[in-house]
Amino acid sequence: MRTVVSVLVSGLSRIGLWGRGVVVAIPYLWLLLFFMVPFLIVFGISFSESIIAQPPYSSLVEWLTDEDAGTSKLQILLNISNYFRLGGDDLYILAYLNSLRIAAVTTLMCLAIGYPMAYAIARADPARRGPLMMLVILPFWTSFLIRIYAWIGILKGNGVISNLLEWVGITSGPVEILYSDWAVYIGMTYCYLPFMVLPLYSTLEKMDPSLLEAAADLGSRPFKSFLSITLPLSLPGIIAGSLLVFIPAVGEFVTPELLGGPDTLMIGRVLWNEFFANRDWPVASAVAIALLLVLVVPIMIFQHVQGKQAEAGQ
Amino acid sequence: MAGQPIRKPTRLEPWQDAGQTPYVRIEKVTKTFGDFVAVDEVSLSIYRNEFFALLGGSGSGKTTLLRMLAGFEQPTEGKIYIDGVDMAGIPPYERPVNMMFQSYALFPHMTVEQNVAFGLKQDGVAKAEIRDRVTEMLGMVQLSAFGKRRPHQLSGGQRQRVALARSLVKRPKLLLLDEPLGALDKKLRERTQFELVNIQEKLGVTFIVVTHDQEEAMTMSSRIAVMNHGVIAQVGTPTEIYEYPHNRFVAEFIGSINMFDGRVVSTEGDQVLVASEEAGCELLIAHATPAPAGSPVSVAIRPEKIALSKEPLPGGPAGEGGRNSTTGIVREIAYLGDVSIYLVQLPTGKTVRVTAPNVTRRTEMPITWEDEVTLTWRPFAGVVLTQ
Repeated sequence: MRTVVSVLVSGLSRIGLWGRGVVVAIPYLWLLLFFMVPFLIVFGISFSESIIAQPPYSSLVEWLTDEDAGTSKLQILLNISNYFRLGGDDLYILAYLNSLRIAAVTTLMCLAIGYPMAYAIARADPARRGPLMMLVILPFWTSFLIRIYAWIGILKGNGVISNLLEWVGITSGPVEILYSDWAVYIGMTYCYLPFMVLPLYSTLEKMDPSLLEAAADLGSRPFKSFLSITLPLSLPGIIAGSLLVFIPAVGEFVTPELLGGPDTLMIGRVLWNEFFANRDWPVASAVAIALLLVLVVPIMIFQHVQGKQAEAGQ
Repeated sequence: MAGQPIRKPTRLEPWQDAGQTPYVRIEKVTKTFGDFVAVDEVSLSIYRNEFFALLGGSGSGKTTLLRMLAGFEQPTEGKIYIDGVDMAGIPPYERPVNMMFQSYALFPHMTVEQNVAFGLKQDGVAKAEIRDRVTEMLGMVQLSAFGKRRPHQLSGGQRQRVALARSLVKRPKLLLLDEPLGALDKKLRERTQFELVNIQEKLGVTFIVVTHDQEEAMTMSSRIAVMNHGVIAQVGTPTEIYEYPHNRFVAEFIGSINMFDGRVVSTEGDQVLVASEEAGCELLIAHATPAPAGSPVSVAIRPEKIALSKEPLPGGPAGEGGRNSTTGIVREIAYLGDVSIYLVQLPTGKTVRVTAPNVTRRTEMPITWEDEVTLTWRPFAGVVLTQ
């Protein structure tokens, strides 16, 4: 057994692939197979034409043989009209803008709720931090769908909130929050809040409390110390949390579908419609690729900031 | 053992002057954390321009006392006055005090210049003045070339000086230093001790420094308060603390010391005669506080005040017959270069520590292991401690 392993090790190390190499190679192989390859397939489909066939798109590459001339040629047809359609139709532009707006509002709401939460947990008694963080993660133990369905019961007319408002006497009739943008904001903020709290907590918890004492000692009032010390030092956490919320929120499909109204147009729904209702795979693929390009910008900002942080050695 | 005081001999001693009002007055201050009493009814007066050390082991309450002066903790009982003003309820950012933190607590996202400028900015000092004062301060701590660097790009010693500059730039009347030299290596620490004292004398700031390092406290301070279990064991100049400890704790905490238990035989004026079985001789102590005959006492003698010789000395240099003289066998020798430490076992079983300077090169080793030696000391050497 030992000799087999040692032969394997020496063989792999001869081609420079052992130890660290293998550890890194396995996940990369996984990503290559199940992310990069499908991505390239989608990218390819986005340049094809919609046809009524199985699969419902034209092939990009064709081998043409001219019997008369006795020649044959390889023909690659790239159909870029799918992308022009995205730019030309208000529907797509509106859907993108709507998605970005809803994702941005969700991110801001998560930040507004998550920051004080993460700060309070990070400043709590060390023995209580673990259970408090546990409570933040606890909702993940239940199915995402069930939690969203529960919100329907809370937000609908004659639902929990509506009845409460009526009972207190603020409103006289049932209040329908469900099937509106607000219901989507509430549902998405609820879903993504832990993704904001976790990175914020980890940066705030690492912060040396004597820095705030030093600031106070030098004459800075508590709120000013927060602005000049705590906030800049937690910036990596704010950026990480915001991206973890913003990026999936842009492409969110389930929450707006269940809680949103008919006019809550998000790119996720457009994508779904193109793929399944219209069976227009090329346009759907173009929508997906364009969405990726929209998201690449914030991801690159994130990478850049992270790189700077690593450089600063903190 | 203890370093030489590096202050000029003509230094002011305001605590001797009844007309002086203390700059910091701590009155019966107690601080408890739950059941734990960190500081127990401490009263202290610290005067302008003093370099005052709070010396003690971990858990002695020295840091808690400092943090109460800075305003990070509130006394459970008692009052603190700084410059005559009651500090109760005054938050740290409104106190005329600055602190240098043990961890330095430099702001990692700011450059050295921004760190030093931070305190001035809070006071709304004009930009041009901030620039001038930061430049001046960085010049004083010899960091002019490092203004644009971030703290993580500096060495430990440089960070320490940034922290010092940041705490001094506001020209506080009182500077609190929490283990200021704790993170530095020995050579750098010695050099920085001198720098700190020079800066303190130049700026005329009152320094209160917390330290667990007795050598550091002895070298730098005008006075030392030795703390133990939240109580002040003794306050005095380094010489007083070292030569005239008031109790066993102080005697044993500062430097090394030999303790002989015994009973008072007689008292004549300020001379006390003590019989000690442990020492194997009678001990005559000059300039001692009189104690009633028969009362149990300890006699403390510093290792460097005991002379060692191979020949028995009848009468001895003390000239008191069998008094202040005993014999023993050398069990251990530790050669430290400048001095050697001898551990001498007396017939009673008691081990006595003696240090002797190595005046000559030790090629022929005048005293070696298992030699029988005579220990003698002068009447001025001992201190009588009544528990």
